[in-house]
Amino acid sequence: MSGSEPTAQDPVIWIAVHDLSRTGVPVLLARLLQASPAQQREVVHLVAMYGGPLLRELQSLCASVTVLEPSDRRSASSAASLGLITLGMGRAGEVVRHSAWRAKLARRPKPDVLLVHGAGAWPVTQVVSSKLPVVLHLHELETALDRCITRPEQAAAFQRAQQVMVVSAPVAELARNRGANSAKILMVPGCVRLPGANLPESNEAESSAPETDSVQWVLGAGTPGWRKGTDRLAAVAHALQRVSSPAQVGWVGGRPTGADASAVGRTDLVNWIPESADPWKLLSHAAVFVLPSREDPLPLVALEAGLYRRAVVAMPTGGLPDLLADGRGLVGSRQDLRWFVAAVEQVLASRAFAEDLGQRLHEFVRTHHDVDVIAPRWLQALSDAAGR
Amino acid sequence: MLYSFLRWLQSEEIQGVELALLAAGPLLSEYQKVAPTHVLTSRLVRSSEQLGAVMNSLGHPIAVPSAIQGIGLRGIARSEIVMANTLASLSTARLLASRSGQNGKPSELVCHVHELDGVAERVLPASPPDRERLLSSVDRFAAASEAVAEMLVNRLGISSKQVTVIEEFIEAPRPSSRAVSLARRRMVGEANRPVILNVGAMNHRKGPERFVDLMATLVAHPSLPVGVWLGGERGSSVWLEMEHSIAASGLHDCVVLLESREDSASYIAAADLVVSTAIEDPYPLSVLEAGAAGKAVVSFESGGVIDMLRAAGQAELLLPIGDTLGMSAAVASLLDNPRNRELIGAQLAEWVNATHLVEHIAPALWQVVKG
Repeated sequence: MSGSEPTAQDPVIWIAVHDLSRTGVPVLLARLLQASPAQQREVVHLVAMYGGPLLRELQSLCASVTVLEPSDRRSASSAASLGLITLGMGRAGEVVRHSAWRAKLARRPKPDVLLVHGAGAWPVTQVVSSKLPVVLHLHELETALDRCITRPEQAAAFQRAQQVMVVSAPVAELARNRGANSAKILMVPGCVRLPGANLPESNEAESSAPETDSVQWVLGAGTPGWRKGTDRLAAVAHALQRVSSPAQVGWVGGRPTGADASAVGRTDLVNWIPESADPWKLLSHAAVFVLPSREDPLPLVALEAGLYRRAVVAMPTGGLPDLLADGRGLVGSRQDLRWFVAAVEQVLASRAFAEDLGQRLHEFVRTHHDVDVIAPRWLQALSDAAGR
Repeated sequence: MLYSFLRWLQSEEIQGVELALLAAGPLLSEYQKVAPTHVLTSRLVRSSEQLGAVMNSLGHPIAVPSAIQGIGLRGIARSEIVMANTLASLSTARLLASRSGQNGKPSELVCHVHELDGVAERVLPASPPDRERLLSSVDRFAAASEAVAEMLVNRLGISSKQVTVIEEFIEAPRPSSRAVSLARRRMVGEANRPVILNVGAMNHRKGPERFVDLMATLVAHPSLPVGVWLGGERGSSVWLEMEHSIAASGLHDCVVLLESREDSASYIAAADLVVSTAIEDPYPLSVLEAGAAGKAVVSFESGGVIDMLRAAGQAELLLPIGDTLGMSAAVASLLDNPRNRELIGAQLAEWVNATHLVEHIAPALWQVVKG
């Protein structure tokens, strides 16, 4: 890192994150750090429970990155911990695991504040002083939050957090319902980097998909699974085929696996495209960008779709109804697949309509989700929590 | 199905069959009535498996000597033939078979495969040599459907000569009228609304999220259908996801989730229509039971249900996996036309009752077991 040296006034910030995958939560962190002054990044130490493809990028954006657990196997401490938990010695299991984490973090400068960036990283609070100010940046809605922090422990977690940043109004409401004091809640939504005057046009981006110019693409992106509603793409593809639409349906982020994978050898009309460092090379060609999510607080890809002036069709979840209101996109009044397919068909039928939706969303994103506006607010909240 | 098979063996007075269960379950007492039953509670077997798993996770895989693991199986009589009832139980069955049979010769190993690719991938050893060693120890395979046989031969490298398709079979369901009316009340109370039933474990492989989406497309149907998912455990992660989806789709009055019950036949008999939203299912017994009960079935095309609906002349009720709106149209059409629904149900009943009851198929399975 370069830039001026940190001053005594700059608080040492530890940021805990669950993993460094190329998904919304870690990507937003990278984006916020990138927009922060170099001097302040010098005092940021990242604690990742697991690694991932963003490791190198994040290493260049903060003073240190500590990965607590290997991603491809269990560490010795984790295996021992699991063994103890299996034998009914849960408390001892936690002690073993946390001791190993503390040992890994022992050489890092003492923090003035801990930012838990996503509820999945909440276990890191167990290895810092109980007096350390904690800020929780909540990126989860109900089922995801319940998986990260058990329901009985949520009220205590929200009390422990000095401040609760939220990415959308429904997330704020959830936090309040689960015990967060309204005065603690601060809106810090997802954001995008606006490239100055040279805002990207769809036809400027290169494409990795064949025949993107001649084929209408219905595209979505994210980690396949129930939450993102990727199973619904097959329904969209079959419905389009039934009306003889030449449009292609694709998903960037890989093929569903495990229990979500369809039977081998059966008809699959969806183009499953692996995740990539720059998914918008392809996504920017979407005639319709779809968000079939069942639970999504405020997906970054929706903001990025606005950056690229794409028409968005979304299921109503999290902050999407607000983002896409007033003609900035099409969003259902409830989770209704029939409506969703009809909305996709409506956008495919009119290029002018699609362009209008895309332009309106673009203007809104530019005004409300510019990282250069959000990042200072984010940093200031961390400084305030640290008492500086 | 194993229980039905054991009952058939008992009725045919076939002696010498013993059952070894990896774990006890709600059917244990029923099993004990039809065959000498051992539950492998051996701590040694479990501990050695746990040790192996921990060492694997540490990056130091070890093979726990089968002799040590075998000590845990010593309460079970030696046998000339050992049959694994699933791929998941094949490792233990191989241990049993590795002990010599009563006549000093090695036991023959038979595997009845009820899994398709996704589950097979999960339950078979990850390491290719270990997997090959395990599969090559099997003398004969019984495949639960053509799709399972295709997986064994084309993707797991088993010789087709070793594989016989033995489709799933059931005992003719005979729920009491009282049980049926009780099931009906649990599903819709006293309301005169058609019930669309899906029976299956609450996991994504069975497609509960697609079932909720299906019901969301049918809320405006004039018959006001109720969708019932029978299966799963309240509070499990997928159960909670479905509760979330039901609320988000505004389906509180249209979808009912019921935990797994042994008397699923009563619920099937009380339903108006049965659907299968599974995206991978070798041969759902609930679909056979629905057929036997004279219920029309609409299903995604996976596994044995393809063979069943085609054989019964109802291929149009098969939809490509994930075509939820196509399934919705098929279901709506059957809701609109009860006469047609009954006709299809009658055709399925005729086919299942003539071809897929235990007495039709158990002899063929026994033949494969005996070799």
